[in-house]
Amino acid sequence: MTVAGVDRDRPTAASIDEMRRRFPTERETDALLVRKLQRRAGPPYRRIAKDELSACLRAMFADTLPGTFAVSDERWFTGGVSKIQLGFTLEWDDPKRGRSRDRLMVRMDPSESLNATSRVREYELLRAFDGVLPVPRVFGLDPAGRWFPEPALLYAFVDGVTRPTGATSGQVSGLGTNFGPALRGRLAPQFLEHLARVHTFDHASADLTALDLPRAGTTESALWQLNRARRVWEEDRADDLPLMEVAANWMQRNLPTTDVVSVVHGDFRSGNFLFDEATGEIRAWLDWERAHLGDRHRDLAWTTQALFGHYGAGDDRGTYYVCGLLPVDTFYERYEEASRLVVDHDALAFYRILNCYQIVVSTLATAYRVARLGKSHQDILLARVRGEVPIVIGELRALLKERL
Amino acid sequence: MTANHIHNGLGAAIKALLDVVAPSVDPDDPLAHEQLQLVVDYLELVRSRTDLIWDRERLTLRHYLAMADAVGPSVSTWLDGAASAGRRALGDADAGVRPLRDAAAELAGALSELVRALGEPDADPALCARVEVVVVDASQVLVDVERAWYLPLGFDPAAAEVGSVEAALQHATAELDRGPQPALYQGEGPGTAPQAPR
Repeated sequence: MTVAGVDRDRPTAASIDEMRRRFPTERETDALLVRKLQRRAGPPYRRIAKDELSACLRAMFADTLPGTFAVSDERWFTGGVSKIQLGFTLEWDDPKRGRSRDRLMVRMDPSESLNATSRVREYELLRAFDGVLPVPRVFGLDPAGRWFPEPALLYAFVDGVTRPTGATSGQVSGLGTNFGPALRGRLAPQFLEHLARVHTFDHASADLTALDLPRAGTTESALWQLNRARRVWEEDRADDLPLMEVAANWMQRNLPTTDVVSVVHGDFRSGNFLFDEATGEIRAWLDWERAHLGDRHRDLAWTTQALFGHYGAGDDRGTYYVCGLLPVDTFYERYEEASRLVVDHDALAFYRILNCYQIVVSTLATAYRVARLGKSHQDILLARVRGEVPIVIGELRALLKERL
Repeated sequence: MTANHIHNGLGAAIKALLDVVAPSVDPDDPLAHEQLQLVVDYLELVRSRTDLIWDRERLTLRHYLAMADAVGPSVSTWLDGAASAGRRALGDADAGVRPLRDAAAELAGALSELVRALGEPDADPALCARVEVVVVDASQVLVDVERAWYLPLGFDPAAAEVGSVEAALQHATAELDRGPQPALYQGEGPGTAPQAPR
């Protein structure tokens, strides 16, 4: 399949170099995208059996754990669009606690994913935020597929749900979850407080080797993120879409300066936190794979994206609930109160456009390419996300119309 | 009633998956259960759209031709050629889905390349601004049709505002028949971004 003569199913070394030259970005991101293209012409994903994955776990633990261990109760988990997830119980000799039984998860890439993201980053960030936010305790990392077929991360299983039991909304990765008024009231304050903690976290004191530090007072962060998205559009797409080129032009002309460099979670939304349904307590923040050091407005724009929330019903039907939790104007006001950081609406506008662009890249370009080549465990789900495209294109168009 | 064997066959496939396959799937394999339902949903979508595929491809081609017409002739050689080919495909009563789709893709490629070229530092800023506005204004027609097309997949946060796909195609066709009048591309429509306070 080609667009303008480019064979994206079989990229050459020269075409990979060209992508790197045209769209410089963070080092870890660059390495992941190069790896993705170098492996693209390889075979499709073959579903790994539970026993095979369990054997990988045993091999890893044999090399890394002291004493004897036992792996049991292996079970598949659904919910994620891009990663393979298996739950299991590990009995082992913890040097601190003695003989212990822990419920754990392994999270592994398929052959090619909706997002070419770093398990190393997830590992470092989960460690950094342990004690700062509710996050799963990390247990191990296989950064280059030494024991597993692909890079993998191990962390503690956390009890909780991503959406209310029986909810008909939010079935795909929690998008558009309607929590209802009672849960909304309990979850929204925590949601805001946690977002503020992410953005005010002292990243300089953390061990974050896989994240590049953009310079505050420059457009570097915005450019790295734009280049990443443009690069993936060039690498993955099967369709041309003139509106995407208008968006790229506009963003290139309007890169915002980052005033304060923050940790950016990258996917801070409903569907990515686990909560206790009885108490409404948020138990864990998940999916740090898109995290980076950069501009907090990237998160603010992402969290308020139209796909992730919903409109009210009846007399409330004009109200848009951010991530199903609180009205958009209230969201910004309370965020400023909680973080003591300002919301710059010009920066926000840029990142809203970038986020729409990024989502179209993922759902139109990458999802098509991965499913076409049969590279993931969720190809049918990737085919389904094509349904998100017109909604996001409509939003992108409206945002550009305001600014052109 | 005319027999529709594709519709019928897809319906039978869905029934087999739900009635026979689903009960036999390992209850300890949630991914298999989830994917089975996703497959059923996708087959349902295709089943409900098979009769409209040609209409949609033709509408998509008309949409890009209207965009090219709004840009105007002699701005890009590739675009001029793609527009001519697109008009020929549109005028060919025998043109099936594939030639219509290919012609629309060629136009989308030519328009995209033009916008990319106009984004370069040495390009004419006035022409760039004009073409960008044309693309943004003209894009709404296809957004509306596609929202209706994919509505059954359940992603639309304002689903109640989206009509049937037949109505969307009919409306878009009427809009394109009227040509680029001032009111044509003004409506933001549902799916507009939630507004930030200023």
